[in-house]
Order: sequence, then structure tokens, then C-alpha cells
Amino acid sequence: MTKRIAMAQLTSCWGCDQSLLDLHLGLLEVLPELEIVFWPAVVDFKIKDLESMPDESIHIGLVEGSCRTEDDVRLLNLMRAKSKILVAWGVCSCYGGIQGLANQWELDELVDRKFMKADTVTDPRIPSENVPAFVPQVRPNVDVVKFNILLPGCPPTSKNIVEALAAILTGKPFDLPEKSVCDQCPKVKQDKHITKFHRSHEGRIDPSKCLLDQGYLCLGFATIGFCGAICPTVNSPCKGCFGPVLRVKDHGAKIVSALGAIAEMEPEQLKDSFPDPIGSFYFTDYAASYLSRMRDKARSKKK
Amino acid sequence: MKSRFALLQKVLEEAGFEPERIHLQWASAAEGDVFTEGITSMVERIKALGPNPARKD
Amino acid sequence: MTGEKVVRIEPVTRLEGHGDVTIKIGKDGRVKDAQFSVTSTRFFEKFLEGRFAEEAPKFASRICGICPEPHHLAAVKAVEAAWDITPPAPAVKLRRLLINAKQFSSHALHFFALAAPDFLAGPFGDPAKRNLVAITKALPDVSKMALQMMQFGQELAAAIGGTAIHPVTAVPGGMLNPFSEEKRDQFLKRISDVKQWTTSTVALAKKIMDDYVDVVTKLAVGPTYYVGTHSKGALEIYDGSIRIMDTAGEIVEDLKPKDYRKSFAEYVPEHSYATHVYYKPVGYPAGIWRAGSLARINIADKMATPLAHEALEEMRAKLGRPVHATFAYHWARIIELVQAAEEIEGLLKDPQIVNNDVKLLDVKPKKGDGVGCVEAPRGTLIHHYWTDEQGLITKANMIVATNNNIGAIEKSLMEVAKQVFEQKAHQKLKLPKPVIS
Repeated sequence: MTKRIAMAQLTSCWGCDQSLLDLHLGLLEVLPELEIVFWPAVVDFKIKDLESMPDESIHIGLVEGSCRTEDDVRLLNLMRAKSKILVAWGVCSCYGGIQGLANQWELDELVDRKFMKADTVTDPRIPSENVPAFVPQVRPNVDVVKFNILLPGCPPTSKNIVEALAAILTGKPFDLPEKSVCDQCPKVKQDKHITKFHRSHEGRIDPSKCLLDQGYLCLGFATIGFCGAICPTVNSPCKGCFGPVLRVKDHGAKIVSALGAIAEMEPEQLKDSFPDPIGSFYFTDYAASYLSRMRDKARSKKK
Repeated sequence: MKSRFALLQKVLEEAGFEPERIHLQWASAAEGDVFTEGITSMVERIKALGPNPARKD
Repeated sequence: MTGEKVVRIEPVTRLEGHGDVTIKIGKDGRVKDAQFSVTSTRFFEKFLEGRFAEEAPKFASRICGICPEPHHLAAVKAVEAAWDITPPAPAVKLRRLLINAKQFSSHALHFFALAAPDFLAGPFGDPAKRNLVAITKALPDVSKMALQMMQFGQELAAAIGGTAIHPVTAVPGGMLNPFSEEKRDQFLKRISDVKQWTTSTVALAKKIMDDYVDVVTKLAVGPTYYVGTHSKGALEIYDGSIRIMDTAGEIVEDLKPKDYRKSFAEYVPEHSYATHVYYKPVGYPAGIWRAGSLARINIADKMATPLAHEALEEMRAKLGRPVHATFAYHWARIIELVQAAEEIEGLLKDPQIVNNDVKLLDVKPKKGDGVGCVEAPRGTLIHHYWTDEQGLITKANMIVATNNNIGAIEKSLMEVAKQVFEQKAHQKLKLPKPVIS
């Protein structure tokens, strides 16, 4: 018996959809198990088709992306209502995604830069016809609806996606690993004696040694080990894009705490090494941070 | 500890909160007066800052 | 006489992103307006401010999950331009390999998953069957070939970029990881299959164009300007000069990417969060242009590789130059697929591709600004960053590839809406028998 599945895209980059398609020939094994009832990326069902489905008639609902507009919020609520099992598909859906970094500014500053002040815009205006309103800041989807499964990743690998789908289809539990990226990384780790941090383009990287040991900001120690350490493997320091290790509520705060402990330098020097702590420590999950949530709360109290 | 604190203050700043809203005070069990003074001056400082505006200047 | 009517398509399907269509038809039955509304945006240009510029390639790739490689590369080129850096030649070759790998997999994806369902099921086919899943059932050999083509491109992109979706290896000064001989040999072994599949796809594209000649030559054939990059007249996607062609097929502009603001401007519509990029000197809407496959084969005098050029000559013999027919995009896309395959083969056979000298060791940030321009599958892509003396981004401006096409999409929509609602053209089209039903 095929399971009814729906894939919805809120505001996102489509990377999770691409990752699913990157099963390639593996798709030919997975697709026969599924009846795709909504997936605007690939099939022609419309929003009204989704709206007319009975509640919980979709076995598996995957939601990619986070809420930047009121249409996103509507679609998210619709998917929750129509799906038995709702999956937060990718790190945008789990923690807000890279667009959460926009929360460092007020909405009017964002809109102003893009529509009124952009260098190549010749007739500035703020669109208002047939377009949904923006929400004041990116809130994690988990603050809007309850999910049954979190599947982080930027994007989750094809293997991650198939693991989750296989578990759901066979009725088995799907548990995220209790690992960090370090557990999966092939580099040789030694004692940490970091007296200076290097930026990712600086110097000669020793491809055999731990990047953090060499003074590069590799966040593997605080990041969930779900990706296979793909970036450190090619000498690119982990940016934490899959989100925190299990049970850490605030990714960046954990990183700040750890850096404070392992960096062998004066506080001012550590501070000066990171002129952009939010971009460096909260790459895809700023919207899920305590500070971003506090700001959101304060703003809604004001209203 | 100091390093962690310095970095945390920077994060607060970038997130639109005044860094003075957090304070690191060392006070041993025998230094009750240091502790009290630290709390009192912090309360005054926060009162002067006003409600958290959550707004970047 | 009928009442006023509004036709809504919510959402447009088989695309990346969010688009709705609104067609307004007046009481007299005439089409008053056709709007394509892109209904979200993430404000990358703003939230890039304050970041380490060398990290921009990893931020920017998140603009798109189908084409992260072009964003990754446009970003690194912009930073290198701002900091006056020339990466070593082997690194440039790796980047060329990366962008061609993505061109290959994206064009295969577009043709087979996004476009082919329309032609195999026909314009009146059951919406439930107009998709890749139906193709896997009805044409298992074709779908297997399609998936293998996408796989080749994605795996090659991952081998160079670290991962295919959101590559990480491009930094100012070069690449973080050289290409191993072992991997190079593995990919080289697969090239003859890849070329065979590409040849089959060309035959398929030509057949579709033939079967649907009525659609191709009658619907959405209105002229526009065209924009794309070239190198000495040959189609070039990594590092070309920008060329602009007018509606009559005359080349009106040839410019260096750093001067893009002379010719590229953005019109903000009332009804869409995506701006319409257009040819600045003639204004909007006269300057509406198109980018991407059809535009590139129009502005280029020739393809850069022999088999692709043969394929282009065939198309020009049938449709001339410039080609305005919107549906010919699918043919142009496959001609580009051939060039991507040939470029990949050439680079894999180049001994420099496995060179270890792929990164400068002494890159220093500086205050300045730089423009990075590449061709994404959907069109000309420009990243422009301003950095301070620490190398933090102070400002960012981007011309996103797709935005070059949105004005023209609306223009085509209006044209076809009139053809369908006023002239009932869809009832008179000569159509082949559907392959999927």
C-alpha cells in the first residue's frame, strides 16, 4: 500500500528537494512506495488541491523552508492540519535557516535596502498587490506548529532523507544521532592550543590535522554529526549548518562557551577575532537562538 | 571565563541588546559585601537602561 | 459578452520558488493584465552586511539549491575582484569544471523533470500524470538515462566542491582542496557514456521541437532583448564579457562585468517581490530582456566546443538568429548541455586539473569593491560586494539570474493569454499524440 506524501516549500532555496532528487537511481526504488499528492516543485497539484484534502489524510508531510511571509505561515498550518506525520525538512524548517540572520535588522530596514535603496533599482516601491505581507522576523517553524520529526541539514543528505523516510514508512522510530561532526571527521585531533584564529582563506592548511587545532573556526565540536563531515574532509571548516548537537538549545551560545574555554588568548583578543559573532556562530540557526526569540517576544509585547 | 564573557557581550551587542545588561562579578563566599555591591550597582544600571528595547540603534 | 474574470494559478508548478499567475480578463473578453507574482524573498543583500567576505561564497550558495555553484563562484570572484587577487590557473580550471558539472546536471534536471512532462503528456494531459514520476513509469529507459545524467553532474560537482548542494571549496585565492588523480580517472571513465546520453538527449529535444512545431512557432514568439556572456564570441559561462543584443538581433553592447551598472537596472513591480532586470539605456518596459540558454545562444556567434556548435548550426538552420520563440529555450538548453559535456571532458583530460597548487597562501583583505559575474543555468548572475579594510562586507548588490527573465515571462504570459483567451489558439494547434496518458 503506497503512503500519501506531500512536500511543501515555504521560503527556502529548494536544496532539500534537490537532495531528494539526488537519490538519482535510488528514486526508482523509493517512488513506488509513495503516492505524491502535493509537490509543486515536481508535480502539478495546486494549493486548492491541498486545501480540499481531509485532515490527516496525508501520511507524511515534509515542510522545507521557514516563514518569511504570511502565506508561508498559512501553508505551514495547512500542512500540519493535513498531515499525520509532519517532518521539519532541513535546517530552515528546524531552526529558521540562513534567512534567520535577517533578524539582526528590523523588517523595514530589510525592505528598504532591497526595494528602495538597492544600487540598481531605478523606480523604488514596496510591492503590495497580490503579494503576501512579510512577518516581522523569522520565527522557527517549531514555534508555529508541532512537528513529529526534525530532519536537520543544509540540506540533509540524500542518505539522511532516505533514512528518515524508510523509518517512517516501516513505522520504526527515527532518532537523530548522538554524535558531533568531530565523530565523523577523518582529520587527526590533538590537544588544543589555539593562540590565534585564522580566517578560512588564510595560510596553508594541513589536510591531515584537525582544522580547529590549526586555528580555523571549525564548529564540528558543537554541530550534529549527521552530514558525514563533508566540509572538514575537503579542508573547509565546519560552519555548523546542520544545527547543534542533540540537547543543545542554543547553538551559538554553546560555541561561545566552548571557545572561551579552549582559546589560549586574552579576552579582548578573542573578541577581536570574531567581529561577526552572529554570522560565525549562528550560520543557519539564529532564528532559534535565545536572543532572537527574546527580541521577537519584546516586539510582540510592544504591539 | 573572561574570554567567554567578552565574546558573549559582543554577541549581545550584535543581536541588538546593550552589553551592560550582563555583568561578570567575582565574589567568594566570604565577600558578602562585594556580592551585594555588585548586585545593587547592576540593578541601578539596568534601571537606567530601561526596558529591553530589542531594537538596534 | 461575459463578466470580468480573474484566472489564478496558485502556485506555478515545476519550478524553483514561489510564483503565482493572475490573468485579468475584461467584460469584453479582452485580456487586461497578466501578472507573474513572486511571493517571497529573503533579503540576502542586507543580511550579508557585516560578514567576513571570504565566507560570502558559503552564504551566497544558499540563495539557490539547484544552482548553488554559480552563486558560490560569482561570490568568490567578487571578493577576489575587491581584494585584487588572481587565483592560480589550476584553481580556475577546477572552478570551470565545477560550473560545467552544475550546468550539466541542472540542464538535465530542467529538461527531464521540469519541462519534458509537458511535452510527453501534452498541454491537455492529466495534471496528475504530468511529472517525472509518470515518466519513470511510462518511459523507464529515458528516465534511467535522465537520472544517470543528473547523477554524473552532481557527483562531479561534489567531488570538486566538497558537496553538490552548497559547495564550500572556493575561497579568495583559489580552492581549498585539489582534485585527486583517482577521482579524475573515475570520472574520465564515465565520459563516453555521458556523451552518448547527451547525443540521445539532443535527438529527443529535436523530436520534441518537431512534434510541437506549431506550439514552438506560434505561441509566445514575441521579441525581446537578450543578455549573456561570451569569450571572443564563443558561449562562455565562467568568465566572459557581457553582451547585449536588441530585438532585431543587433549587438548593442559589449561590456566588462565591472561596468554592469551602465546596462543593468531593476524595475520593482507592484505585484512581485522579485524585481525585473532590464536594459537600462532604453528604459522599462522597452528594455525587457531575457537571459539563460536561448539568450546565450543568441548573443554568442558560436559555441565554444565542436559538437555543440554543430548542434547550434542545426538549430539556426531551422529557426534563424536570433530565435525569439520561447519554447526553443528547451532546444537551446540541450545545445548547452552538449557544450557542458565537452568542456567537462576537456578539463578532465587537462593534466593541470590534478595540480596541487590550487590556493594562494598570503591573501590579504582590503577596502574596496568588486564584481563577480558568471552564467547560472537561468542567466547572467552578478554579485557586487563592498568590503572594509578588515575584509568585512559593508554592502552587497546582486543581479540574480532569474530576475533577468521575469519581465519577459510576464510579456510571454500576456501574449499567450491573448492567444488562448481571445483567439482560442489552443483549439487550433497541431499537436502530437501524447506519450503519457
